Amino acid sequence: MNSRALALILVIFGLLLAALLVHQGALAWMALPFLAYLGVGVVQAPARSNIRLRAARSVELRRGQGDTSVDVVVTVENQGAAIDHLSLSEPLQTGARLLTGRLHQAAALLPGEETKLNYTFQTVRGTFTWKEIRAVASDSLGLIETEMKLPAEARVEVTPELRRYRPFPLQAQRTLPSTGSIPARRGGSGTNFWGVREYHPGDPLRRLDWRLTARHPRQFFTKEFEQEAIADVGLIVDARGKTNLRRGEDCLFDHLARATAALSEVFLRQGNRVSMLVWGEPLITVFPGYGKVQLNRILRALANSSPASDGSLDDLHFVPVQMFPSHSLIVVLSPLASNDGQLFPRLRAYGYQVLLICPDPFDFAQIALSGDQPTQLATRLARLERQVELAKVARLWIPVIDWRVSQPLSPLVRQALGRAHRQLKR
Amino acid sequence: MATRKLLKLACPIACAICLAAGYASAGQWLGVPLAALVWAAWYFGAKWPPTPLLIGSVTVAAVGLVAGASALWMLPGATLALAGWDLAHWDSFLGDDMPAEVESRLERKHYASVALALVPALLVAAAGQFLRLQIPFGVLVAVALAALLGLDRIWGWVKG
Repeated sequence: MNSRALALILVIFGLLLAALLVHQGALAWMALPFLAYLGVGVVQAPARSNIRLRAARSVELRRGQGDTSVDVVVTVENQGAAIDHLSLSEPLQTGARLLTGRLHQAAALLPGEETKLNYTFQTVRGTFTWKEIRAVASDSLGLIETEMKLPAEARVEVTPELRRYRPFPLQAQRTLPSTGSIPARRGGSGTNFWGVREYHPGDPLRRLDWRLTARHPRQFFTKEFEQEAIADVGLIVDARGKTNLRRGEDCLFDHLARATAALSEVFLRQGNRVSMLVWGEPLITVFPGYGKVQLNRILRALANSSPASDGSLDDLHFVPVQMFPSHSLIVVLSPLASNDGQLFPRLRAYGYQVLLICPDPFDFAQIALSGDQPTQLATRLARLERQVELAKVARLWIPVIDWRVSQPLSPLVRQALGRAHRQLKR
Repeated sequence: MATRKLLKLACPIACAICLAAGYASAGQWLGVPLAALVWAAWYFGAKWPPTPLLIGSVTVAAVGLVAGASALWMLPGATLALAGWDLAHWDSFLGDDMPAEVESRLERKHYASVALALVPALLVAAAGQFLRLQIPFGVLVAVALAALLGLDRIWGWVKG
């Protein structure tokens, strides 16, 4: 019985009570159409034991430019008695925007017939899980309802858009003993000249430095080239609720997730060992790994993460940096809140090489900010405070990228890494 | 959909006409603007929940009966208010983008059920105006108790 049936009962009792109070039979007769309407509803209501519905869900994912659309079709088949009035509905999941179709479908089903709830939603990233669909069978007047949850499971993961960057000129403090693309600062096989040493038996003859050998009788010299190896790269992504800004359907974390996906792709393509930590609720860790499998792990982790607030994870200072191999290159992607600067001395103390990518929250929120004087003044103060924080980080020899999310990130990273390389050389 | 929209518009108008005619027939001229107010509430309050509108319309009809208006006008007035209430709910349930085939099938079934409920009930209620039954209070209480105690059995019989 729903609120409509209750409203009818209220009217019927009201009229009967009024009839008793004023001793007027006509008022009681007035209740008759209401009573008949309710009675027809009760008689036509389907018995629960006669309702047999089966639901099946199919989900199709279509990738577009910058976002993904997902087609959802739920087919409900009537395997029991006829249903005069069937209503199917389900809520739109968080992070999804309805493009076409409806989340509600009404139907009348004869035995063996089926109906479809069909809709398409758009999203940029996320994991969407369905377990059931809500079905309400009722009489044709919609008064006596029987609610059911029909199992219709499906799951779809929408990974962030993957932009392909050109390889970055990385200079790692320490490299791993595998061939890669990062200069390892030690002699071996490579392409860049490294130095000359005395010949050891077993050295290939093509590496002999004939000019030097000619100048030193009875001595042989071998040319060495700078070894190119791989490095450990760690990514720390800030998924705290307090640093995430939302502007309509766009949120700052989605930009961070896209940047992380693109960076991890380019680092893995260069052959490096990449790990990732998403600092939020829940805390997501992807331990060091190589190749496409690792890229898939990272993308899935990014799809599953969403910015959330939790008191215990509010401070960036407590990030478990020990999960990253020592002397890794750590890329921190965070808009930074006040006091977050404490993380960076700690990272440097552990011997990590750090790069900070800091999306500008004020630029992101510019459209939403009102132009009145107090707001402008407050924004200016907050900007200054942020610049001071970034300058403190930069003083630790950490390249800082002050990123306006509307700008392409790749040239900024290239520039920052080049600058850091020149500083190291000096 | 056109039929649905037309009926949704026509029911409150017919309801207001019946109420106004009932008040006018009893010489209660103050009730005529009240009936017009009922129509205005239905018309301009299309976005409101229809239940308060139904309760308001039935109250106006009941007050008219108490004030001496003819039951032959007030009964159709209240019944048409019920039909208007039903159509308002029905319209919001179906929405605007329902497939035409499904919509016409659902509508046919729904209108048949509404007609099945309201037309005989209205006729019986109208006929009831001419019936004069004297039921002793004791018998009435006994019938009410029997109905109350047998309700679950009736329900089981209906569902079975």
